[in-house]
Amino acid sequence: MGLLSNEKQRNRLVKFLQNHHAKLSALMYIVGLAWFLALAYQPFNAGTYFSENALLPGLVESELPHVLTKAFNLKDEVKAEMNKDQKVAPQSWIFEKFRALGLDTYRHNFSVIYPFKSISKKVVQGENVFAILRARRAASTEALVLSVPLRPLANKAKPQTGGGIALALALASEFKQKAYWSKDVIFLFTDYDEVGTTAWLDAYHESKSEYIVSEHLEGRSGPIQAAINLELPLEKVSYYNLKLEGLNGQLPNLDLVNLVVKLCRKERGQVTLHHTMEPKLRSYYGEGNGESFQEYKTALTTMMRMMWYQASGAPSGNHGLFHRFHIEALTLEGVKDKKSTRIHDLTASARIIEGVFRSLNNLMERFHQSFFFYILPSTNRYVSIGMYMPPFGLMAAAGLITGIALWLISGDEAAANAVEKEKEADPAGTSLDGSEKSKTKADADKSEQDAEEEDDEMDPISTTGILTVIPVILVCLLLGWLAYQGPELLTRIMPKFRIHTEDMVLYSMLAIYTAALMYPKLMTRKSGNPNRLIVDWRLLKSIGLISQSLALASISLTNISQAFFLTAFMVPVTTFVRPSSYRFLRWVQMFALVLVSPLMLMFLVGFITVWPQPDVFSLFLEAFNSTKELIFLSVMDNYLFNAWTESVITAIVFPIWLFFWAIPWAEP
Amino acid sequence: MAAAGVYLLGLFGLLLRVGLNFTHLPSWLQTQNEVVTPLTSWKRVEEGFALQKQLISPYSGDIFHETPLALQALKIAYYFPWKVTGFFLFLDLLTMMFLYKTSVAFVRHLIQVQNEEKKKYSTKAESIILTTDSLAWIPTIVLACYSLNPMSIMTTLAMSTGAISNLTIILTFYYLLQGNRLLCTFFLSVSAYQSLYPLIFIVPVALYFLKLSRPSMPSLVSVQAVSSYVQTCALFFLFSALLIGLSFVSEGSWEFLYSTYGFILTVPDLTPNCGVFWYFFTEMFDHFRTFFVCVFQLNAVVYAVPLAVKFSEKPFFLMFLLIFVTSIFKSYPSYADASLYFSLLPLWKHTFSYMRNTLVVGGMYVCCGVLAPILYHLWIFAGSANANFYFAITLTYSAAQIFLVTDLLFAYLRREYDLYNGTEHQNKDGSKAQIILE
Repeated sequence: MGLLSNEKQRNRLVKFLQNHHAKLSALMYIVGLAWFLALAYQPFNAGTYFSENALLPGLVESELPHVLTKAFNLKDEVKAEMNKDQKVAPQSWIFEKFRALGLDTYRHNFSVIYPFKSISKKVVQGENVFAILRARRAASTEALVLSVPLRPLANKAKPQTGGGIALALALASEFKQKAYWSKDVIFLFTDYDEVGTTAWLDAYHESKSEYIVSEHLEGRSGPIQAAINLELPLEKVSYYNLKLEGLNGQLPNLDLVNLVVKLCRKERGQVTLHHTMEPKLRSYYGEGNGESFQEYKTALTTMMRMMWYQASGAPSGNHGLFHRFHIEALTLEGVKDKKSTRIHDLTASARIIEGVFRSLNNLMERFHQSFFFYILPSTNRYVSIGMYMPPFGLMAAAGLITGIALWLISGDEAAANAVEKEKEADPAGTSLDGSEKSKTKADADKSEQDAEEEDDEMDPISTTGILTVIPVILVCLLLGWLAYQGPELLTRIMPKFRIHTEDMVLYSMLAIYTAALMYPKLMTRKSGNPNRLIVDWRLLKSIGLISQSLALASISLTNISQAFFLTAFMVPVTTFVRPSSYRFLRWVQMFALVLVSPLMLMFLVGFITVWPQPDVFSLFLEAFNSTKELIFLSVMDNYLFNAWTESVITAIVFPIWLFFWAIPWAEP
Repeated sequence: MAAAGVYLLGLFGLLLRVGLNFTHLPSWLQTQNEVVTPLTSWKRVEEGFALQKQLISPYSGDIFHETPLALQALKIAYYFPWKVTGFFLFLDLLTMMFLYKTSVAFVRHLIQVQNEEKKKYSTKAESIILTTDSLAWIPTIVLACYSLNPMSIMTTLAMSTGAISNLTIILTFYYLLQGNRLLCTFFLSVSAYQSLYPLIFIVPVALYFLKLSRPSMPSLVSVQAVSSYVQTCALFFLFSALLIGLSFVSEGSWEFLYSTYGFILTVPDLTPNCGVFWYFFTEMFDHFRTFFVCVFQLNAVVYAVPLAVKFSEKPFFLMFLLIFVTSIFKSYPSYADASLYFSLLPLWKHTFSYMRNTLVVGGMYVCCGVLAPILYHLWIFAGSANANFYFAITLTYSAAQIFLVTDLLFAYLRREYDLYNGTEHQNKDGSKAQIILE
């Protein structure tokens, strides 16, 4: 509390901040970034372990036969069934099969209403199938879900999942014979991937969605404890890939991830995160390896890939929607790699899934131990919230420090101006006797000490005060609101054009963006110099930096990766932008600002997504198309799944960025 | 000039509330624990109406905690244009009107007190002496702090009945300034009847009426003084007894006492809110509970004693401090309480230049406002965070409030010191001295 009550210490700190904030900010940013990236290096992170002891017993022994013949027969049946009509998924066949097994089997219909109603009144119908294996030892008070997305053969965009269907059927008949189930197992087959999952989950929890209308469920079980989403092709697979990232950057409990990884290893399956092959397993057993540069590079790649997917805020698989209902879930994907010599057939996959479900069956309570906030640099190492927050905090605080320093400086200046004015008002020398003079001085000193207390109302007429800043802030917020509402408003107003919705969304965004770029120009009119905006840039920048830090901190709590990338790109530019009287410097700053503007960042993402392209032209074309798709998808995700990314970018990041956009236009 | 600005501000505030009513905000805010507490939730009032209609006592369950007279009186909300929304907008309008009147009267009072005491001030203190010009903006600022304050906007949108308690407290404040003992004690007893804690505002009220009746400043414990206190308290208790008696008549049983005041005092509902009670008592073993409930409740009111000793000459500042302190430490605080003290805060604008932590405190308030709903979501809906995350924020919020109130207290005392000793302080050797609180 010394800092809050002792003036001397405070003044020293204030002085230090005012003089050295630029150096301090730069140092903090660089140290923070380096530290964050260093987290992938093995000595800086930790090995995964089981927190929840109840999960362990399932790791003991599989009760499946060495060759699961049922699965192989079913696989052929699935193949035949899917080839009958390549355009539809075999819902009816699955329904009949499960019914024949004697499980409670239901169909579940849903329809999707196209969000942009004015453009298309299209309604898409879909059908999920689910079967509930009732536990013999409990009254359906808890449930586990094995979900498999249904993808008709004609759908070439995504890998096939026929193996999953066969496996689910085979496992259902195996599970049915066992007496040890104390949780219901729900086998769920969803149409249209995430949409079907959302519909089913909404129906299961009786929540409503505006655009996905789903039928009432005829049968249900208890609260769902965990879910595994299976994406297995009909062929043999070379390795298993894990997908964890859920809606809005939520992750499953680390114990579930550990469980799946461990069981894959037990069945001698190779398991990867985002297809990054890890070197040997030696380090897993703690022999102190993983310290070479090569291994660091691999770990960093894995970490960055995971963060990349998490940052999008979109679910990387069907499991992502389960997180919305506080259900731990992940996707296990079987991948066929022609180069690899390893081969795992359905039996291996079946043993993994059996192990996972038997372990989950032993759970006494919901997942609550271990970590919910983490980043994985490999399948057996983790970086927890306690490890990544300090470097992230350093990076984000780089902006905050400058913001506070500028606040103090601008307060000082306002105080100095006030003194000047007072002196001018007082005709010099007429009434300045000793006490009067000292009074003014004391006043100045006092207000200097209390510079930061310069309140909104302190100085209503000055050209540097808060009043010059408020209009800019209001305009920025208004533009942010327009960008947030823009796509919907525009598509509602202009239904006549015959262009794709994707284009419509992109062009409306572009229109708002370019309009926003011009706002400093439009606000200069009343000032003398047509190219200069009259605004207290220090105050504006400090408000901008402080709100930016707050926004980044809030984002980091829900989605650390998104916050990290935003910080890494935005903070260096926004912290060091300042008005300049040199035209060249101004242009450089404007260019840098545009480069880190939300739309350009989106374009950059599109660029990276399509990176290896034969020539520059096609690179840009593909990047443009991918950006278009990206923006459209984020808008759709917002409508269908209530994903926040689009809202965060348009309603929070964009207006804050606009604050900074005014700064190069201001009088230095 | 000021007048037009005031009307515009009020109108703008109202329009803002009307406009926001058409968004998703109200339904969201009605579920936010920082805005609505079990005591002030409109949904519970509706539940009370429904129960009453079924001829079931609303107090037999654990839902309804309004007072019986409020239950009767609130039915008028349905006769307003736009029903309940209109009723709360009307309450807001009333609040704004009386806030403005209060602040105008308060400015007059400040000048008057200063004129009385001017002789005692140091000659070197002229720079901080108040003038009518320097105070001219205060009523406008007070109004702005209510009409544009996000907290009061949220309170209105969420239809929190905290708005009613706020209005009665402002009315008490207003009639205290007017020197109207009858109405002042009446509104004080109404607000105490509504939310119990305003009970302790009897201290500044009694002190001020003593001051009014004996301008020559008798000792605070003389016979005349005691008789003045007794008169004020008697009036207050008379009105309170009347209100409680009427409640008994309308309800037909004493059951309501436990559901209202018992609910406030024993804190059975531990739904997370922005106060200090819930986390502590979820962790508490049952056999310690009674003791700690007593301690916590005492904590909310005990500051009345030292503050009354220190500020017996300044009843309005004392009243404000008590409003502030109870809204921090009461058992079910919400943004409604914060909006009350924020709107009265600019009355002490002349001391603001002595405050030292506004940036820190302001930052803390903003952070809490933004992070609280996020952490609540992560804890309750996403399930990835836990109670400690949200608790950390409510603790920060309480700390911010305490910093603000102590800062204001310090600033006030510091200014008083300067008034009597001059603004320039020198060490014995003639160098500039710094005043340090020790």
